[in-house]
Amino acid sequence: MSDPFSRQVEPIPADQLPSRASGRTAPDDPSDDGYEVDDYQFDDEARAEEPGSRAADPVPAPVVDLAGRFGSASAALIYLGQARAAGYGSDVRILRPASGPAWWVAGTLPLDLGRELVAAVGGRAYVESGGRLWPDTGWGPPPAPGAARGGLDLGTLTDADLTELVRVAGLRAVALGVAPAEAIVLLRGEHASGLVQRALELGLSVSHQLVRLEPLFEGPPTGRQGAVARTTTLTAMRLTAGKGTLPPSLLVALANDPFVTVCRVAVGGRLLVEAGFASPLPDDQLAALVDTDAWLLAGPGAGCARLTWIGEASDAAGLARLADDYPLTPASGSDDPPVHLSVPAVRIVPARAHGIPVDAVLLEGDDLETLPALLEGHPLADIAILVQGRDRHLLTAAGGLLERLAIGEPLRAVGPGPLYVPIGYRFRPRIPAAARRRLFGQDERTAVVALPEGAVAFDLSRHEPVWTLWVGPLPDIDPQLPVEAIETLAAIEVELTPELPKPAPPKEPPTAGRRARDWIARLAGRGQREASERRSWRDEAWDAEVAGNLPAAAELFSRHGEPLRAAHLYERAALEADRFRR
Amino acid sequence: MPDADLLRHAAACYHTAGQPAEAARCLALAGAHRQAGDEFAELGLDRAAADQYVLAGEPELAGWRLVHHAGDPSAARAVLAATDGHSAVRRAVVLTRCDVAEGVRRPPLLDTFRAVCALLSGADATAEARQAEEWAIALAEQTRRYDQAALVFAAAVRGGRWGAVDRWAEWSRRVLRTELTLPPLPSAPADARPPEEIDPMDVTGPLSL
Repeated sequence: MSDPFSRQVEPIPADQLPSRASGRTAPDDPSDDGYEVDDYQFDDEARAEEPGSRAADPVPAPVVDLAGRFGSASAALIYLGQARAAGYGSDVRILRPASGPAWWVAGTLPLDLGRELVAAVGGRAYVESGGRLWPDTGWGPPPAPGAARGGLDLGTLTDADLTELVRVAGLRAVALGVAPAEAIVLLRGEHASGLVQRALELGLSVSHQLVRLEPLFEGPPTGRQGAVARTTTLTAMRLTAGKGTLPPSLLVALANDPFVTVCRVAVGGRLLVEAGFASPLPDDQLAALVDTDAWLLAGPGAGCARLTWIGEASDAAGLARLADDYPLTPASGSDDPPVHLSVPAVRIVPARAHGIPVDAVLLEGDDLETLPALLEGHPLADIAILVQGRDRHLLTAAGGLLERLAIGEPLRAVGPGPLYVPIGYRFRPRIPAAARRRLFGQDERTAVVALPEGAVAFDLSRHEPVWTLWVGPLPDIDPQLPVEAIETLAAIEVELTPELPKPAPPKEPPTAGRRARDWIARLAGRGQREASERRSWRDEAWDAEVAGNLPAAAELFSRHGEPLRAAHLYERAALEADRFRR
Repeated sequence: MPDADLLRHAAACYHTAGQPAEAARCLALAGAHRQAGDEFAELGLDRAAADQYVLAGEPELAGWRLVHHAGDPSAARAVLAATDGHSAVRRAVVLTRCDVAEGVRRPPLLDTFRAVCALLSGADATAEARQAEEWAIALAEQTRRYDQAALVFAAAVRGGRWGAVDRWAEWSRRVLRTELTLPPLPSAPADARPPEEIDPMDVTGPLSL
């Protein structure tokens, strides 16, 4: 038994498919009732087999004389604008009934387009035929004359002017939107200087020109538009952004100012529309109505007017006036003495301090006796340096002590260089870094500690390692050489002792005797201190720190495995630079 | 050398010197608020970390730190209300965690986990998805919805999130005390035929959903 699910489904032969070209079902279908359907066929192949058959061309919509009836001028104006934008409406007529608020807009355009445009603004479409207006059903062919009852006599409507339609439609409020790059502000001259000053502060280009305003409409103001009652002359300020757009905040402020009218410039300046308002008719179509230099469409504050420019535009920077009693005087050649300013003296005043690391300590005279007991065996003994003064002493270290000691006044380095203030104090007034160096004179050789009662200075060239306080002379050293070597060395020394000036002997290569003599001299502590004492990286770091080159000093500490001091110096460098910028 | 660079060097040195709190302070001064927040978070200074995250423009991070680590859901809500974040999914996780912390009846757990799964299954940014996964798992643990945790991990695995299988296995060992056994990742069966060879009228093949 074959698997019933294994059969392949064969497609239905084309000749057995029902053809609906004649509106009939299958030829032998007993249910055929002759119902006629439309010409649309589902089987393209079947239709193609019929002799003389071809694809039907789309039927173009008929072009009719369409009249739209609208309950408001705004709707009529919107319809007109859209019809013109679609390329129709060049022969449009504006019609009004003898009474009532309705507006009619009649013109020739395709029926489907007209229906759509009229319906979009809530109007009613009529088709003109035989001097009468027949209401359109909204679908299907245009109404035939006499097909519907009534029909309006076209002669009962009178022509109206498009300008009147614009006037009655008025303006609608719109959001300010994206700020433009240019705007024109109409104002009276006494308000000009303030606007110019503000615009210049914002970096805008400002020009001004006088303009004459004449009433645009004859009728009373309607809706949101105003009307200019009489001819007047105002100042027009043109604000232009250097790049980008005008500051939106400025436009908002001007829009809220009752003494000025800020307008956006449209169609190359032929149309000025107050910011925040718009007409139902697009700007380019409105501009086609302009019969002077420009039109102004504004709200009740300014009204609508015809503008006529007077003269030429000029730079408005000259309108920014100087303050009263502000004459110009020569700066040089005066015999008057220079002005003496009364400036406050620099003081050291208490200030909040928390967690500030200690850079140095100021010791009193008798603290030196206690210092060895504190630091002997302490890690600071290896790096701290002491600068002894007359009755005060400075204890510090390259990179700072970074530890609180039980004696002395803890100090923090404020820089630049070795300038210290007690922790918990600050300068008043705050002094920038360059001024601090100039006032106190600290440098690589002089450290200054600024105290509330005065400043003390220390000579850094006299600094010594702190361990010199408790490390005295070395015990005698017995050089362990054989007796014969000692006798030989003594004989050599006697022979080489110079008696008379002799020519400089030729350089002799170092002998064993000379090397041993130098070694003995070093052990016994004899011999002069070498002029160029061997310096360590810590000395270089100290030199860089007192010279104010804190990053270099920090780098040395970082490279030699002392990250804490490096961090402290980096932070000091950052804060000193920041204080300088402030 | 600009200030921020000097402070960053100082922070690195403080870190080397074993003073991470000072390092975090210097990073905050340098304007590296995200890094400072991470440093404070590692030190357990949750509120300081949250403050830095807010300055870094990461309110979701700050909110999570406040609600999940510092136990302050009201502060977390305040942070999220005051600033706009970058991720609606992470924000949803934080707010749901706030609901749980405050004992809100019927918090939107399932919706939140569903959103996280959708994020993990997609091609969104790795860092955001990684955080969303971590927070969702923590939320699931908090609410003992281990089923949702499994769904989240499964979504991460399907989404090809790096390391998702390992994280799932580690979570299973830690929380469920069991070894994770995952089926093989989706691949073509051995007897499968390419789609173009399948006759749509042939119904003898195996049914597949």
